[in-house]
Amino acid sequence: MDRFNQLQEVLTWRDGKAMWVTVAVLALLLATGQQGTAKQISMKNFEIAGITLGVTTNHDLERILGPAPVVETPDHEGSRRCYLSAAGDGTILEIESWVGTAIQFRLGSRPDATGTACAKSSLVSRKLATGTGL
Amino acid sequence: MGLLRKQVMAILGQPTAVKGSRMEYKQSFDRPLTSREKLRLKRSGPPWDVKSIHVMDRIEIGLSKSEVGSIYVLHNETD
Repeated sequence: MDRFNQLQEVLTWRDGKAMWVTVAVLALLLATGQQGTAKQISMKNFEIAGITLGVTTNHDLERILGPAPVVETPDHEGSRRCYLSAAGDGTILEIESWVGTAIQFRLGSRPDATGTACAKSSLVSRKLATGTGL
Repeated sequence: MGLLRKQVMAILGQPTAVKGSRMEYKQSFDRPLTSREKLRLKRSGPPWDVKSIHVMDRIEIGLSKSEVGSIYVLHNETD
């Protein structure tokens, strides 16, 4: 009976050890897996139609894409410009600047866009992509 | 525009968050000042105790019918 209890203790210890080893291996695999799929956002993602966020000034923006109606966003010293595909495919590129420099853009489409609040640009079309191909 | 989800993930990797048909990627970090920025800050006057630049990046991919229908990108640096 004593021998049986001893054996039982050894098996429990082994099971416990095995459990911790399994947990450690799984944690390691998960951590490795996350590192493998998470990427740092490349600066190339901030480039579109010759505009680079954080670099291109409003002056350069209008030189590249042409003059556009400016919507002031005084709450944060910003301004927004909208460009519509000259090809008529409804693609819209909106660029927002802060203190004279482009900091964000939104690329999308609006099939019913008439261009009343947007300037038409030949650089804007459905084929337009970021520096990484998005 | 027009890319599939798996193509987006091949470019950007695993999203920080997925909310319905929107994939979000975020990162923020501090970087040291460049020599040009140090000079600009010195010329612009106090405060001169700026030690780093805070960088905030954000990308939102809107999927429509399994394809990329909209892209929002933000890259902001503040001292």
